[in-house]
Amino acid sequence: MKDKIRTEIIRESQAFVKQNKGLVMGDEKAMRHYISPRISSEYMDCSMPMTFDHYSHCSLGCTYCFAYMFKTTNTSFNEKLHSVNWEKTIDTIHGNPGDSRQRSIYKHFIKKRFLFHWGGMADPFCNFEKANDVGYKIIQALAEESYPTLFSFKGSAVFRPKFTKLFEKYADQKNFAFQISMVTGNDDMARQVEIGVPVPSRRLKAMKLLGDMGYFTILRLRPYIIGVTDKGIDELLEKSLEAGIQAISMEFTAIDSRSNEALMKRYKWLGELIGVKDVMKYFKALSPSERGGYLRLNRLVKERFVKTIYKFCLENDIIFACSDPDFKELNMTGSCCGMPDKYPENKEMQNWTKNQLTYHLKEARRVYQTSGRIYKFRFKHVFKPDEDTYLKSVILGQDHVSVSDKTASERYKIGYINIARTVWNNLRSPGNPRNYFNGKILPFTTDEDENLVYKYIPSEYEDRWSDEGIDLTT
Amino acid sequence: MEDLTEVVSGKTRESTIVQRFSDLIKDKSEAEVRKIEEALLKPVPLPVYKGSKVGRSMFKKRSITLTFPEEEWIDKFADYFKVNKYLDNNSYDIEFLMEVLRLFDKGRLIWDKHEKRFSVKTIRKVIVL
Repeated sequence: MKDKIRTEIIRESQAFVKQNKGLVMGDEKAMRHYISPRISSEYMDCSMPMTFDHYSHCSLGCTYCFAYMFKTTNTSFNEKLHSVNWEKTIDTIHGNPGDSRQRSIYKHFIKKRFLFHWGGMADPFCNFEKANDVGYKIIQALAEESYPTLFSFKGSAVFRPKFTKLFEKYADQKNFAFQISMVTGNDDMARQVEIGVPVPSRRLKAMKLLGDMGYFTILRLRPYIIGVTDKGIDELLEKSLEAGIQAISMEFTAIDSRSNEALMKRYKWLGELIGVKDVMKYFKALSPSERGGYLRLNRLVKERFVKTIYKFCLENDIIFACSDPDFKELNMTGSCCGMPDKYPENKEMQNWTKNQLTYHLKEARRVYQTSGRIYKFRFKHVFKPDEDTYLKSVILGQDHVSVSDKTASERYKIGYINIARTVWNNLRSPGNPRNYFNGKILPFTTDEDENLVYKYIPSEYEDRWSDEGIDLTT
Repeated sequence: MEDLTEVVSGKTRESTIVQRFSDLIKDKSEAEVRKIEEALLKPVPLPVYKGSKVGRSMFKKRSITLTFPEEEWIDKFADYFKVNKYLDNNSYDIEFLMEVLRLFDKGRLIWDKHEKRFSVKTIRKVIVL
């Protein structure tokens, strides 16, 4: 049975990788363009709400891919490869936005030189780049403008001479940072879960290559798959440290209970790897129901794994970052991707927003641990539309292509601040801070604007870890 | 205020469970550890919020219900005044209706209820519509 599932999954992913290897886009003049940058659906706790992908999908065959889930269940998703309109994107980077969408992105982000996060639903250096060369042109424009950019990747195009030469040439500017994704340090295990992806040992070389050039590099343990990532984690951490990482960002695997047939096969395979017969039953039993159908295990299951990584970061003076809703309070900066609060080498790399829940959760933990004071969360203190102007000026109709539970007329009326307020006050919403952070902050009253006010709830583990000598005040 | 005793009792439970779990998984296989996790590390239910609520009750203070003599008037009304149907603390497109109310308030728009007609008051004269 196990072998059968394994063969099916690997065959499907291999076929996907084979079909997509060197895939070339159609006639660019006639084709529809992929819409990006866009605003992240996770903007309520995200330090970099402007996220970018240059292709509509990715050539890599990671069996745990969350974007695969979104894309295979989205009826409007087109399997043909599309890229962004690179000419318009480059014009916008150079300060000449063309259409209304580009003008909006320019006004709210690019003009302010807001950190550009590349690699949300696809890979900036995947195999499509070899045949299409779209990414290179955009990176060149970003380099020419010394525009602050964070890449999140595991593809191998970064090793192509033209890319290494480009990154070497502009290394002094320090306007690029890199997150290198890993789910395991073991090459054999990786071949079973990440088909067509450079093996971890090769990714460590990429980490070293970029670190040696002087760039800020981050080990991205996302998703952290319990039963896979924890095997040999100490070795992976040591090797990453040797390769020069300055931060680690982690987030645990989550699975969607609303799965299609192809996705269920992948989940079954994942279950085999982590040692459970019925992966859906396992996730349902251990995930807080308040978070809805996207099943994330509760913090009791995750604690021992988080502790290992957190302690490693403390001991080696590197930034611990956690984008998982559990243990998010342990972030050492306000960016759960691991970007530093202070980066004197290029201060523009600090240009991400603190007006979001990750920053405030981190502050709440720090305030409690240093003074014993309980931090209050008020809507108007967390979200500031006068600073993050996209919150009130960008409407869903302009941006969010995947929102399916709103009518067209609603999408042309609702801005991001409206959605944030609705979610903030609706205690039945899976995205509500009480539910999403699973009780780490709880509402206790309402304010003069009729919004709920939350307060930080210190956890038992905080006392226990402190007693063990783990510093929680950083 | 939420019931803090519930949170505190949750804490006690958490500490005991973590210790018991770490004792139980020693020398166990991966599959056995998953089974122990499933049995022992169930999520702790969240305390119930008992404070003042935002939503229907708060929204009610700022909202009214309109009743028309026939259903077709609702469509006619909606042609001019698009009012959001959801009670989500946000309101949309009622600027036009509010502007009309402001004009009435300032006395620039007059409704003659005997003659059933509007008049607009300008600087020099009153225009009957």
